[in-house]
Amino acid sequence: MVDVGLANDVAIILVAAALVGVLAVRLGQPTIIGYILTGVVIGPVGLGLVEPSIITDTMAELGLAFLLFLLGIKMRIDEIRHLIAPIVKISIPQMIAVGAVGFGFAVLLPFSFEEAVIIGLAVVYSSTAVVIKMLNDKGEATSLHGKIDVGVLLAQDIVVVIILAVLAAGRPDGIADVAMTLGIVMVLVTVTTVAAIAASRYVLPSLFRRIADDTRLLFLVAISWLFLFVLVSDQINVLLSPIGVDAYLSIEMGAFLAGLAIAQLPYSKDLQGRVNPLTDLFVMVFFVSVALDFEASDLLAYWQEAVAVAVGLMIVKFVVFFLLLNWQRFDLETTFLGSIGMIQVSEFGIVVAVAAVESEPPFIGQAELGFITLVALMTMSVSVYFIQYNRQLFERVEPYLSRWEQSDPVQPADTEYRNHVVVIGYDEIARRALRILEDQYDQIVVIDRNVEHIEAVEDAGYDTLFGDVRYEKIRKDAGVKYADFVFSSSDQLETNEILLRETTEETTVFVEAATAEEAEQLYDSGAKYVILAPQLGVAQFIEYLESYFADRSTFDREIAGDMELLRSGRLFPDITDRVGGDDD
Amino acid sequence: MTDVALLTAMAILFVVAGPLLLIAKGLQLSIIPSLILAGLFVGQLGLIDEELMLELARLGIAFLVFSFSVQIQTEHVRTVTSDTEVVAIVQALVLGVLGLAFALVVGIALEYGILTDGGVIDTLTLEQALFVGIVAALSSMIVGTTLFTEPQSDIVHDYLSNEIDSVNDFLAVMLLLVVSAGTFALDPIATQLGYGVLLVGTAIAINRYLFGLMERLTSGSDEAMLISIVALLIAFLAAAEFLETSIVVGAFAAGLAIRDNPVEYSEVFNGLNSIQEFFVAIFFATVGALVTLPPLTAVVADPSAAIAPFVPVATIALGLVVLTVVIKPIVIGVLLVYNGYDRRSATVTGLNLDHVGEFGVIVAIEALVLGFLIEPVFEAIILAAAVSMILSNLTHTYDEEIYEIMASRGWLGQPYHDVDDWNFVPEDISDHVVIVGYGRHGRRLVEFCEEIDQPYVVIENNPHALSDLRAECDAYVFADAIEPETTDVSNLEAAQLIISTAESKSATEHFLSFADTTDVVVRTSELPMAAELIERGATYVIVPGLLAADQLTDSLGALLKGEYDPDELRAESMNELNTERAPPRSSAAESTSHTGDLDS
Repeated sequence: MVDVGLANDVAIILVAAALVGVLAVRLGQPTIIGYILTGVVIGPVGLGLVEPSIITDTMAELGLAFLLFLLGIKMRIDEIRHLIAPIVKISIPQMIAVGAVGFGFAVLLPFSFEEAVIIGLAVVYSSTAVVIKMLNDKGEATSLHGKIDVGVLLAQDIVVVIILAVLAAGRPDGIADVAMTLGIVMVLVTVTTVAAIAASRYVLPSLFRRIADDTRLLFLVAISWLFLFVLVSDQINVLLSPIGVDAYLSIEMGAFLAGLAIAQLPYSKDLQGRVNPLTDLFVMVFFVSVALDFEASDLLAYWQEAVAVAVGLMIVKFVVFFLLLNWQRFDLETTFLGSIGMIQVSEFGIVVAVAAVESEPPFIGQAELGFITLVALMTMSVSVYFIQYNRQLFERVEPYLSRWEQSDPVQPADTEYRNHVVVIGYDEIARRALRILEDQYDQIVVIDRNVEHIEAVEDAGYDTLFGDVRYEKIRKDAGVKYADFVFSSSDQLETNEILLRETTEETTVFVEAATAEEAEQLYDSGAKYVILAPQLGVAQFIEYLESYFADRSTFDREIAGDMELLRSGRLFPDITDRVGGDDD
Repeated sequence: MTDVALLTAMAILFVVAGPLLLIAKGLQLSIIPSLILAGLFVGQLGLIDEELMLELARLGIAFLVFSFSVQIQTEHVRTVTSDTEVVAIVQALVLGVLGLAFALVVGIALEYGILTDGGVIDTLTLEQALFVGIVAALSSMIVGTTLFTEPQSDIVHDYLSNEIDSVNDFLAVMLLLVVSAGTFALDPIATQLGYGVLLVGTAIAINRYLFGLMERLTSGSDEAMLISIVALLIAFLAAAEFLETSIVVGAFAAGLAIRDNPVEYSEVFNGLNSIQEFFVAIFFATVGALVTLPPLTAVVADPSAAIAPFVPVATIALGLVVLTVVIKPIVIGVLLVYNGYDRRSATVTGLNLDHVGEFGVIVAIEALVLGFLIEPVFEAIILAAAVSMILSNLTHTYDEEIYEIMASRGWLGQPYHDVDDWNFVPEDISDHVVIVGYGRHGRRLVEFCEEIDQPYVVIENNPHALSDLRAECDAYVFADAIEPETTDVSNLEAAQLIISTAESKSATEHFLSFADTTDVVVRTSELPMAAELIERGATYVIVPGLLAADQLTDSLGALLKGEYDPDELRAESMNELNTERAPPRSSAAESTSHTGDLDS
């Protein structure tokens, strides 16, 4: 007999986090802080209401996987290729420098040499979860400094994987042992990356093209694709153990690569909007559960040392990043914003510490684990504010940083639409409108959720965006807010209302409606013109009928244009349109 | 972060589901059977911790019911039951009783040892049989809606299926309330109903008083709003759990607490949608994983011994499949014909609804979790659901063909009503216009014909439009347009022009067969399709967008050339709207005269 209740832990976590989260929003604080605090309050450190369960652990794990997947979906290789070299040059010295400083701090404090090594290894990374979540929330993930941060985080992620693999293998017998593990991990990462990129070139385009029209199917197959990578990364050890290889690959890495493969497809924008909410939900559980694993006594054993190290590390991380980014000739603002984002210690630091505790024999004890966790929690919390107010901060300090100004900085590519035309939904009405609008406007982007439509419009030489305009992500990418003219050939009231909400008085908005009542409602919401397509259509048809009964040859002449167009059987026929209608 | 067994199980489920979904797409099958099959397959590997997966899966149920009840408020509450709703209820009753009877017979057969000695099921109690009946009765929403490929629903059988579906959904939620009452005895039901009312009352109070506060507190942050709504749902689920009633009741109440505002909170509702889809997928896969088939190796080794215990399960499953795939369409068809629908619409509607609905599956799983349903019966229900959903896909895809075969073999008998009783056509009519469909377009065309004194005949098959036809039309035939009798009565061969406003493939084909002798105008919304129709002899093809575009071009061109000021255009077009307001909605109840005068 199956006997289940709803998981109480999950219920408490979700409800508590929502309450605190809303409070955080209300007080103008980042939600991450709210979530971490929730974990502290309801976990063993605070009220002791919740203990981590399999379900919460799984959701937290999913949170990280989805976060990285989402990040992957956003990375178009063409857009980041030029950043690969600087990122490698930044991340390697950064990790060495920060690791050395972390080790130094620990040695100065009452930690043994071995403990200090682990602490050094644990504080090297900046938090993927914090940085990416904040960048996403602020819409900066694809800005230049966002891309640099993400790149460095991924480089660190590879290193985490290696460190974990080494720790999992137990106390290394020697340098050869470390080199062996290192080699295997590098090979695995390379193989997976190549597989993902190859798939995005040769397999996925035709596969996803077939299913893209079906929203649900696209979503589920994308998730299935994600889980394929998650499964392989997670079980790589089991898969490779028969051939005697001890391997390790992080789920996060797999998730990122799964996303990366999808990012190269035209359907990625649509998926971003759909994956985002799931990510929000699971990442919330992740942040709450960070603090759930600890007893107060362990967590606070070294609290004074933790405060000192946290402050010291944040300063050191900022300086190291600032110098390295500056060295790579990024402009001052990018350098500052890129550095200020990376000052925290990562949740991966905790993972590394946990691995060190669980290693046989353990490298560190519970108290040291608590120390590392506390440093991570504090730096994460503080850094969130720095990221939240990064631009304001930059404006304040900019005058003092002028000596770091670059004369010839690396320029970010700017591809945003301004004062353009957005056409929603492709059909015959939209086609006619496109032909008229292209005389007046340089930039026209067509949004549609049908693969054939998108291809036809693209072939006709217009910019296209595959996706559902009801998703904010799509409207943002099409720059609906900044458009000069919005033309919607969708007659869904809801869609058009959303468009009218998003646009200002200055934008000319044409929308379509099915009934007179809806048309009136749309005029009230600010539409400049509402196309009552059914009525217009009937009116036109009745004009044809009039000629049909009056004089057959007139009728034939009148419909000749339509017939030519209809006979073409093409979605975007290349036919000169009749000039004007034939009414008065 | 140490125990990822659940994550692995989930990953395997999705990895297996992916290719199955792709195959299903290739075969034009719907999503749910693929998910169930994926679960079924993975379940046999024994990798899945059923209890853990069920916890996640029940979130899927909660989200399904939740989004169902969020929508309830927007649909205006009707007080009058329409004939389709009566059909839906009678259909559910008939199928329910048949299912119950069938299960009882199986039970008796088991009792007397006719069926098996495997010992999986000793006997079927009335309670178990009742669930078989419930599942047979309910066919509902998700499977239905993903099957519908036609975008518009002025086609009679589409809106029939939709309406019967939503009645079924409603019945299912009510049944779930009863099931969660713990037993069918009267006293607990009263208590449970009390709790249900309590939850719903709380929900309505939240909707009225607290939701506004929630909106203010989240102050425009979509993430905060989304998570608050999820938390609200979870809180209601917890409350339901605490009151020892079903989480379905909690989810239903939670939906009522949310104000449905899809425009302002589009992102939030999109978000809920994604989360729902994820958990619903897990739900159906888990349902599949709960079924235990006889292990393949054992079947190969000793077929009879391995299969024997499975016989009762298979029998019940087979019975359910026959009930839903064969008997249900017949019942629905007969009921609809009795209510005045034509044979084709009735048959096709029946063929669209011939499956075990996903709400039926939810009822089953709730009953299993609450301990009323024994596992073998549950397994039979799930198997029947998967099989009938796949078969339903097939019958839906080939519904017209199936109808033709049945009609041509005379299985459907004669049309229930004689075409002669339901029409009014002058004997000697010729050179007339045949207008197919009396919706918005049809009405306007009739007006036009009357204006120019052109004789016409309207063909319509929706009983709702019958009184209008009688009151407003000089000549009409109330029947399925494709039947030969209709062709005779409307004197189609002598017509000057046939205008079909119905975008139905079979009707279009039928009329094009007259293209040699008369002018035929047909309709499609797919532009590339039009070329084919012209090729086959259509005089003209109505593509609504194309016609409207002709008229639109003027306003847009003028605006861009600066002949118009945007505000001027707006004012003018709003003015026009007032004169256009008259054309009626396609609602059948209206019988007003129309003043739409478009010859501006």
